[in-house]
Amino acid sequence: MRELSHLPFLSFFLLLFALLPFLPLGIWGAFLLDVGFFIQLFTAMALSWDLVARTGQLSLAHGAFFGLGAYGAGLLAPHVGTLPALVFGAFVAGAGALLLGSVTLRLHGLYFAIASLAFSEVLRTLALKLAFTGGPIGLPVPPPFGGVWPLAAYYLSFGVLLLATALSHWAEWSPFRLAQAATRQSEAVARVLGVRVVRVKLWSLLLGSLVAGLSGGVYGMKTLFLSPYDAFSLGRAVEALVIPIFGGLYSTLGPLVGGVVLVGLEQALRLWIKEGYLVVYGAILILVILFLPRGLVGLLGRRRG
Amino acid sequence: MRKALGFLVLLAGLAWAQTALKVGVILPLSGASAVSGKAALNGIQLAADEVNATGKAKLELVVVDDGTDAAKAVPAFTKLMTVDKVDIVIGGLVSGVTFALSGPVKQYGPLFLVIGAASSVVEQAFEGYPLFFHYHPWDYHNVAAALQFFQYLNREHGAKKVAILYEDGPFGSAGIGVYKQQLEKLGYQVQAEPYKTGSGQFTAILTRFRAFAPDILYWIGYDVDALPIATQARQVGLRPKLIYGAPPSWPIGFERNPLSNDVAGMTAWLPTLSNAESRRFVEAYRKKYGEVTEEYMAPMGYTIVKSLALAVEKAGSNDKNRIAEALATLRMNTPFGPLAFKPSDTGKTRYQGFGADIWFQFQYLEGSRRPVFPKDKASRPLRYPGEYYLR
Repeated sequence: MRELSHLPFLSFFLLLFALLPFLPLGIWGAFLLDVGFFIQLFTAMALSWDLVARTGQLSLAHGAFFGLGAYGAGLLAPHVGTLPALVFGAFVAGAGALLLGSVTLRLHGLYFAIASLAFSEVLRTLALKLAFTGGPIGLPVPPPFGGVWPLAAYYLSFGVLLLATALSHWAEWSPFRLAQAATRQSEAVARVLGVRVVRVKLWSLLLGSLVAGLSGGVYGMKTLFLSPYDAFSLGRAVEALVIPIFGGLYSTLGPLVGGVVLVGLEQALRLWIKEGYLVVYGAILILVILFLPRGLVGLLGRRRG
Repeated sequence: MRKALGFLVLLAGLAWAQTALKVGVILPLSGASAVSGKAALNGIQLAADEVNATGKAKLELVVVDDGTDAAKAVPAFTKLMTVDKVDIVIGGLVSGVTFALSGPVKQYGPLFLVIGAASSVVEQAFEGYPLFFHYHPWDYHNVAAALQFFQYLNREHGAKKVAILYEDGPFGSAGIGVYKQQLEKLGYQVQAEPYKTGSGQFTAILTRFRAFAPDILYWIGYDVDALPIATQARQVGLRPKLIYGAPPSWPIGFERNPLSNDVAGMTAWLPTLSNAESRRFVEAYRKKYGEVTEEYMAPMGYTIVKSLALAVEKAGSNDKNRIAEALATLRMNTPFGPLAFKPSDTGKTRYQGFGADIWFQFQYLEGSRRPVFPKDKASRPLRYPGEYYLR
């Protein structure tokens, strides 16, 4: 029954994002569309990170998948156009995940986290050193569809969010969830139960990386420029893990609510408080983690009794 | 009748005198470049206060923080354009962030007065945009100014070997190959090694450099590494004749550390510069903020607002195109020296403010930074060889 109770919330958020460009927002419309663009992308990243976290793995490689997708799409976009470039970027990120996963997914918890962090560092260094990436100077990226449709970037990010939500929802409400939960709780027991643990982890990492890669590709088309330090930033991976913790782990609604509230809150605080907004932002984050261990969606659960 | 006409003229004069203009300011007030961003904002606010006090124009600043992050800068810029409805924007300090703004700038078409963004990639991004005024020199100007100093060291002091220690990020690595080539062309033997910013561990690289016995240890990186490099160079017994650093900003209080003595570097401005505009700026800054800044972004922000105010006065209008026309033909003295706009060296942008000539070399001597090169800006002779011993 939890499934039915969450669906209206999910639908509400998705409908809100789909209709945002048509809402009568007055002079704030363009600003809110830009904020909405980044909320959608970072929420999609958070959903993709949560997909991996459901197997008990702490991924710090999401910045790397984001960067692979961004560079893959950015390099190909001038030659093949927007959509094929985005798909290519996602596949590059997926290939990176398969490579990382095949080598490291037998590792557990913190060991995997360290390996994934090292993976990010290696890729960032490669992006800095290889000539075709533009190296430290960076890589200019064309806007989506030649910039002819102003809402293109927005709806591309909406598409990424939709895909991330659909994947997360499927993983949450299919038998795959049981395999993920068993893997997370005890790999040994999961194996006894017949769960192919490494395969479950690899699939989770692959699906997560595809979404992260798409997010990176769309990000590059909005910011029009990529640098290795921005695209492969550890900050992206940290943001992707903070949002689900803030909203609620191992669910679709948690990262979705977390993304909307946290990214939106940061923008609002930046507008109203200006200097020192990070103090308030940090305090809110700490309070939620201290008093809402199940994240914001824990409030919904409590209310339902 | 005559009285009525006089009254009308007076009214018109007053209206012109109080030309109110909303100016957007987008700077990194948080994130990695916050120190430079806040310095720039101080300079901008100081100049705006001075302009408003004259009564000739009234500037209303709308300040937003770009967070040194494209994802934060784009919505902040959009807010300036659509909510605050400004026609003129001052900003663009960090190259990557400024590049991200190129799309929205072209979409909304403001007069964009750029304070930093030295990377020539930005020059490409704004190619053909008619209202782009870039005050800061481009990266190729920076290289030219540094090479001029190295040529002098080679010619006058017989320096022949340079060991380059560069951080492996965009700041240190961009153009390192070209740098090496240019130095070799000047007659130098060059050995270059990358390092990771903030690692604090330089002894291995510096020991390798010792075998090379360089005349100059050239460090391209961030402020955080200044002290470890100065310390560890002494610890491993590296005895260059000059330690030359090129960080975007130097560590606060570095001059008070005896290890800074004789270390040289490049900047566009110091409060000790003797030109009249610089002295006036330093005095006004001290009066408003109770301290003296060494961040050259402060006078750069000040210069931009002062030039804008003159252009508004000259244009007699709030129209961004007329202000741009006035700015294009403006000649004025600034804390950096004379300012006039001309096409950039590559011809990609039409309005470039300062060039290689605003850069000069300084040396930490007796607890403060003193200009040492070129001669027309030097207040002290360069101490070469410097003394880099453990005392």
